[in-house]
Amino acid sequence: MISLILMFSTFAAAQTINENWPVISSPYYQGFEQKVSGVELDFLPGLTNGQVALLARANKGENEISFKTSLIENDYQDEIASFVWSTSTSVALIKESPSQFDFYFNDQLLFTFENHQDSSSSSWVLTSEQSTLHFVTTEYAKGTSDAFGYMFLNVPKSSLNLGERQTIRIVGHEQESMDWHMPFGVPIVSRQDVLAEPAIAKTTDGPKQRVRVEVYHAGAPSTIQFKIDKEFFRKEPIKPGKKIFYLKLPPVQTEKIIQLEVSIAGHSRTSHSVKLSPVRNYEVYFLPHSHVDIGFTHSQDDVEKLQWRNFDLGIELAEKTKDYPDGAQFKWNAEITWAIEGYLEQASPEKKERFLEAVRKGWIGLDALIASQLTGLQREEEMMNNQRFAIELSEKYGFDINTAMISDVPGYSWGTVESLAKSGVNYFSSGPNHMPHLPHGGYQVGYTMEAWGDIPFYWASASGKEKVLFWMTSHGYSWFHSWSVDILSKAGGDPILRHLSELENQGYPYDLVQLRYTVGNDNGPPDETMPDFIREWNDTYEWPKMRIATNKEMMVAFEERYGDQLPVYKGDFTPYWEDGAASSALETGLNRKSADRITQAETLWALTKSESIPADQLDDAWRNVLLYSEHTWGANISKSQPDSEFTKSLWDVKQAFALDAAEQSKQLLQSAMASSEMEVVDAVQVFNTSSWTRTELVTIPADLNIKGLKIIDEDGNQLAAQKLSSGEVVFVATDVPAWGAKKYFIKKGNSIESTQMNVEDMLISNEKLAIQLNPATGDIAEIKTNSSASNTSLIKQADTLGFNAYWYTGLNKSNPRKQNNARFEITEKGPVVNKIKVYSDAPGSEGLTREIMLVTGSHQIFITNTVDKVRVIEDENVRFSFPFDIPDGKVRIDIPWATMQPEKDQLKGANKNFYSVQRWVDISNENIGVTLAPVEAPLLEIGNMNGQNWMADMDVRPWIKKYEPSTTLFSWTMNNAWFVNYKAFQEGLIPFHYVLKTHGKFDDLETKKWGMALTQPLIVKAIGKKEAVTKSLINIKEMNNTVVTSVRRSKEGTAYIVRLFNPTDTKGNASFSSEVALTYYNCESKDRKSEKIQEVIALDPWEVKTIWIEK
Amino acid sequence: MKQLLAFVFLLSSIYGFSEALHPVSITWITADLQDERVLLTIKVSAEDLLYFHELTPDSLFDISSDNLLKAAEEHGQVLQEAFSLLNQDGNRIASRFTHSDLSAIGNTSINVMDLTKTTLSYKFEFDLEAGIEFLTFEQNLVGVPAISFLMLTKNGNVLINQRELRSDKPFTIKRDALSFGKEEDQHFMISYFTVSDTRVTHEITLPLKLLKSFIQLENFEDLEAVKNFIEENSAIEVDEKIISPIVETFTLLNGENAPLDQSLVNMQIVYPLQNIPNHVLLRWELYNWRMRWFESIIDAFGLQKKHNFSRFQTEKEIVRDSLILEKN
Repeated sequence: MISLILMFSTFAAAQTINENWPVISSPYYQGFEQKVSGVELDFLPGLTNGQVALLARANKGENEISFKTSLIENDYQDEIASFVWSTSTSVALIKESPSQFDFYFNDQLLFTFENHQDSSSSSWVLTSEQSTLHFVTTEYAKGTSDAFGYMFLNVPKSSLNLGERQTIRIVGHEQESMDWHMPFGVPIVSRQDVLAEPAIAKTTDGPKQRVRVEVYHAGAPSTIQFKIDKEFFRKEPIKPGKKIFYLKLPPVQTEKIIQLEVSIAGHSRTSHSVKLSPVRNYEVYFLPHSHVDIGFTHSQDDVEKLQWRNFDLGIELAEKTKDYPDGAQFKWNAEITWAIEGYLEQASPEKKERFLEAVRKGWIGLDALIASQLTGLQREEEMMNNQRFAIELSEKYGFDINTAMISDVPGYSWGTVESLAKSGVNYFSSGPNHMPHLPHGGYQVGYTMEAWGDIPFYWASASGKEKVLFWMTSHGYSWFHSWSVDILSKAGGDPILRHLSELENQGYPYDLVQLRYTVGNDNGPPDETMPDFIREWNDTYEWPKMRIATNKEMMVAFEERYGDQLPVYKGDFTPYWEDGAASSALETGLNRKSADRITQAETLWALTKSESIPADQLDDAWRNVLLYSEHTWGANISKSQPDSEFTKSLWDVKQAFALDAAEQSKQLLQSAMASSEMEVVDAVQVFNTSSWTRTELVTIPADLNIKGLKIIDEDGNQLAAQKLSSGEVVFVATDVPAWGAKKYFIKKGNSIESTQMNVEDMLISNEKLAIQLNPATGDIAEIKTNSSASNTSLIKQADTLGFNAYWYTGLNKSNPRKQNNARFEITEKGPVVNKIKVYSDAPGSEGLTREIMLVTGSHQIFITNTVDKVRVIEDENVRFSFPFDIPDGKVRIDIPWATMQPEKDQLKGANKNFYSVQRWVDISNENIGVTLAPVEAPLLEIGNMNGQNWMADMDVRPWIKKYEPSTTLFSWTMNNAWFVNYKAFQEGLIPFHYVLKTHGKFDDLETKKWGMALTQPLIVKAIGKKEAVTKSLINIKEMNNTVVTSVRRSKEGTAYIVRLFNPTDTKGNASFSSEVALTYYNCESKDRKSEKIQEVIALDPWEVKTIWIEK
Repeated sequence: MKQLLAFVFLLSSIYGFSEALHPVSITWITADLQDERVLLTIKVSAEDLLYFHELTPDSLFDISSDNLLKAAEEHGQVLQEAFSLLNQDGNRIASRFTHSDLSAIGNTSINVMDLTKTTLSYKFEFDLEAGIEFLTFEQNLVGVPAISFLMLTKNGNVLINQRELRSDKPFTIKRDALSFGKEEDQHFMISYFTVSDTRVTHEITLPLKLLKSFIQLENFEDLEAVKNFIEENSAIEVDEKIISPIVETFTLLNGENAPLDQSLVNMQIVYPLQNIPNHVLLRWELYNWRMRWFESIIDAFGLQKKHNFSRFQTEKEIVRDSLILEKN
C-alpha cells in the first residue's frame, strides 16, 4: 500500500510539458484499434461509421475504459515500441484538485496522469523507468481549454506480449468529478483530404476559387510544400495533427483538372488530381427555428416558456440586425403555432404588438401546423384541425399563413396534403432528425431522406385537386446541434461547402438549397452569432450566398424560380414513428375515439341547435386531441429512467391530453343532445349524425329507467330487444334517416324471440354467420357465411398463428409466445346479441379476455380483446393475428381522405414495415372480402410481425423496400422499444375492439360509411312519448358517391360549414334543403366563404369540398 | 501469416470458349499486390506471336527460333500496351518492363502446331503512389479475339483465381485488399460501363455491406436471389426497348479471418443486344444515404465518358451516331 502511494505521488509530480512527436520505434503502432470496455460514444465529429471513442470520468461507475493496440509481431526486434492514439481530455473543472487517472499497460500500472489546469499545461510527459507517456495537444475545443491531441506511449520490449495486441486500461480515481478523458479509436496515419470548394472568394486580387487541403500530419513538426502542375505554390510550417490550408486559384469557366503535389519535409510526396468546376451560384437558405418538442428536454410548461423566450430573443436579434445586409438580417421561424397561442394570451399589450409587428415585418415566420404531428394517428377531421389556430391567427390579424413546417418526424399520412391545402397552405417544409453517422441519415427515418431529401415536388391529394410544394432537406433539423457539426460560428462554412460539393456531384438541379438551423439541442434558442457569421460570409464570398430566411421567403423564392419544373406525385408517405403510440395503447385508443366524438358533437350542435356553439369548449377539446397526437410522448429518459420524477411528470401531462379530451368530448356530445327529463322513460329517439341512412345495434343506457323490453317503432312494429348483463338494453334501429331521428316506444312486456340466434359452448351464430372457436386456444377457428360467393371459412386453416390470437414477443418478434389455458363462458344470449367470453393466461399480463359477439341480422363480428397488462420494462410487443383466407385478396387501408393500397398508393420511401390505419383494413378479391376495423389500435403489419424488422441488422437497418402481398394481418397493439420519448411500460386493463365485416365485392363508398359509423354511433336519448323527435335545421336532398365528414356552424353562427368527401372512383354530388331557401358558397380555405356556387355540388373522384351554406 | 481465400461464383458460363475454333489469344496473368507496387506476370503461348507479329512458317509449317525470338522480344511491348492498370480516376498507372523468360523457344525451329505448348513469360511493375485507392485491370489486345485469366495475389497469397479479363470486361479491386472491410471504406462503388455494337456491359465493384443495404436478404449466400434482384432492378433502355441484364459473374472477395460482411463484390452485368444500338439510356436507380452518388467511367463505342449517377441523374444518354462523328 505504501509503495503504491509513493508511486502515485511520484507519477503525478512528473507531469511536465512536452511538445514533440515522441515516437521512438519505426514504424509506430496504433494505440487504439479495438475497444474492450467502457462507456462508448459513436456519434462524435471525427468518428466515421464503426469507430468509437471511450469516455472515462473521475467518477464511480463510469471511470474505467480499456482498449487494445495493433498486433505486435512475434519477432519484434526493436528495444522500444511506440504506440500512438488520438485522445481528448477536459480541462480540470476544479483547478486545485484536478482529476487523476491510472494508466495500465498489459495490466501493469505504469502512470497516473491528471487533467490539465489550463492550456499552458495541456501537453505533458510522464516517465517511469524505461517507459514514457506523452500527451501532445494539437488543438482546443472552441471556447474552452479542453484539449485534443495525441497520446504516445513508449515501452520497452520486455513489457510487450509478443504476437498479441497489447491492452491499455485507464481508470479514473473516484473523485466525484465530471472531468473526463476520451481516447478515440481512429487510425493515426498521415493523410490529406482535398476539396475543390464550390465557392468563389472575394480577395484583393479579385475573385478566387479555393482548394481546401485538410492535412492530418502524423509526424514531427516540419514544413509542408504545395506544387500545382509542378510549379511551386506555397510553403508553410506544419505541426502534428490536423491543419487546413486554403489554396486560392483563379476561377475556372470550364472544368479543369490540376495536379496538386503535397510534400512534407521535402519528401513524402502525395499527388492529387483535383477537378475544378465552374462554381454554381448557390443560395443557401437557413431556416432558424427551435424544433419544438412539447416535453422531452423540459417539462411542457417550461418548454412553452422557452419558446416564448425564443420569440423575444428572435425579435431582439432581428431588431439588432435590421440594418445588416440582405440575407444577414435575423429571422425566426415559429415553426408551429402551439406556443404562440399562449404567448399572445400572457404578453403585455406592448409585447403582443411587438410580436405581431415582427410577424408583419417578416422577422417572425408563422407556419400553420399546431405541432409536429404523428399524422398516422389522426382521423380526417382531426387532421383538418392541425391548422386550427393558424386559421384563427389569420382571421384575427390578417396574416396569410400559407406554409407549414414539420421537424423530426419522418413520413406523413397522405391526407396531410388535403388538410393543408384546405387551410390555405401551399408549402410544406420537412426536416426529419439528422444523424449522419446512422445508416439512413437519421433515427428511425426509414427511407424518407434517401428518397426525398433535397428532391422537392408537388405532393398531390388523392383527388389530384389539391397540391402542396413539399421540400424535405437531406440534412435535417439537428445537423447544427452541438454533438454534430455545431453552430455556424464554430463549425465555419466547411460543412456547408462540403454539402454543396456533394450536391454538385449528385447533379442537384437547383441553385437554392434548404437547410434547417436549430442549435444546441431540441427546444433550442436562436443563435445570436448567426447574423454576424452570415454577414461575414457574404462579405468574404461571391458565391455561395447564405441567407437567413423564413420558410415562406424560401418557398416562394423557390417556386418562383423552379415551380414550373417540379414533378407532381401522388401517394401515401406512410409514416415511421407512429409505432411509439402503441407504448400507451389505452390513451391512443381513447384519443382516436375522442376525435370522432368531437366531430360528431360539432355536427350535432350545428344541425340541431339554434343557439351559439360552445366554441371555447370545442377549442379546448380539439387542442387536447391534437396535442396527444404531437410526436413528443415524454422524456428523453423515459426508457432509461421510467420512474424518475421527470419522466413521470411529463407523462402525466401527456396522458392528461388524452384523458381530458375524452371527458370533454363526452360532455360536448351530451350537451349537444340531452335526454328529456323523466322518471320513467317510455320512448327514445335514435339520432343519426351521418349523411346516409343507417341500420345498427343501439344501446339504451342502464341509467335510463325503462319498464319493459317491448320496443315498438313508429309504424307499430315490435322489435327484438335484449337486456344485457350490464343492465343496458339493446335493439337494432332500422333505417334511421340521414341527419334525422326515429322514435321507439318502450312498453312493459317482453321482447319477441328469435329462432336464428344461437350460442352454445364454442359456437355462435346468427342469420348470416357462424363462428366456431378453437376449444384448445380460444382462437376463432372458422367463420362461415351464408353467402354463395364464399365457400371458405375466411380463415387460413393450416395457419399455426391462430385467428384473433394474442402474440407476445421480445424485441423484433424474438421469443414469440401465445395465450394459453382457454376457458369459455357464454355471457349474453338472446334475440339481439349472443356473446362468448374466452379467458386465457397470457404472457406479459395478469390475463386476457376475448369476447366474440354477433348481432341479429348482421354480417359483423364484434370482438373485444382486453389485456390486463402488467408492468414490463424489458422490450416487449403485443399483437393480435388475423390470418385471412381470401384467395388473391388485395389489401386496402383506410387513411384520412383516401384509401391506400400498399406499394401501389405509396410514395417512394414510405414505410412498409407497418402501416397506420384510420378506421379499417380490407382484404377482397373480385367476389368476396372482409373488412377489419381495429378501433383503438392504429398499427397494422401485413404478412408478418415486421414492425421492428429493421432492427435485425443495426448496421444496415433494413427497412422493407418492397411490399409482399399477403392476407395475414397483425394488429400491433403494444410495444415499448423506443429508447427515448415513448413509454417504457404500460399496465392495467387495456381493451382492443375489432369489428369484422364480411362482404361481397369491395365497395369504396359503403366501406368508408361503415368505418365512420363504427366510431360515430347512433345516438340514443330519452324523449317524451308525445314529444317530436329532433329535427335537423338543414337536410340532405340528394347525395351520390359522397359523404359528409363534418358540419360546423360558422363563428357568427349564421352559416353551416359542411365538408363533403367523395371516396369513390366515380363522380359524386350533393344537395341540401331547408324550410327556407339556402345559398351556397365555396369555403375552400381559412373557414371563410368565397364565391357563390350552384346548389348541386359536384365532386370529382376522391375530391373533398368545404362549402358554406347560408339560410 | 494471413491466408486469403477467394470465393468465386460464376453465375453463368464463360462464353468465350465457344469461339475456340477461331484464332483466339489466351493469356494467363498473375498480379501480386504489394505495398507500393503491383507485379504483373503474363504468360502467353508462342502461338500468340503468330497473331500479333508477321511470322511466316516455311513449307513444313516450321518457324525458325530466331524469328520467334525476335517476335517474342517485341511481344513484350505489345503486352505492356495492352495490359493496363488504372487508378480510381480511370488514369493509367505507368508500368515498367522488368523481365522476360523466353527460354522455351530454344535454339531450333518450332512447328506451328507445337506453338501452343510453348509458354513465354513477361514481368512488369507498376508503382503505386499514395492516394491510389482502387485498381482496375484492363486487357486491350487487338487484332484477334483475346481472353485473359487473372490470378490476383497479395504478397504472394492468392486472393482470386481464374478471373476473366476481356477488352470489355475490366476488373477492379481495392488497393489494400486486406483492409477493405473497414467501415469508412464501405461507401464506394466503382463502375465501368462499356457500350459496343453487340452488347452493353457494366462492371461494378462495391462492398458487400453496401450491396446488402440495397438488397436485403436473410441469407446473403443465396446468390441466385442477389442475381435476380440486380437483374430486376438495373434494366437499361436501348432504342426505346427495355433491356434487362444478365449477371454474368458475381465474385466475392474475402480474407480468411474477416467476416463475410467485410467482403468486396465484383459483378459483371451484361445487356445482350439484338441489333446495333443507336440510342442507349444507361440507368442506375439504387442509392441510399451511404452511397448517394457514384462516378461511372463509360467506354462508349471506343470513346471514354464519365457520368455521375445519382438520384438526380439516374440516366446517361449515349447516342452512337453522334459519338461516331465525335470519334472521327
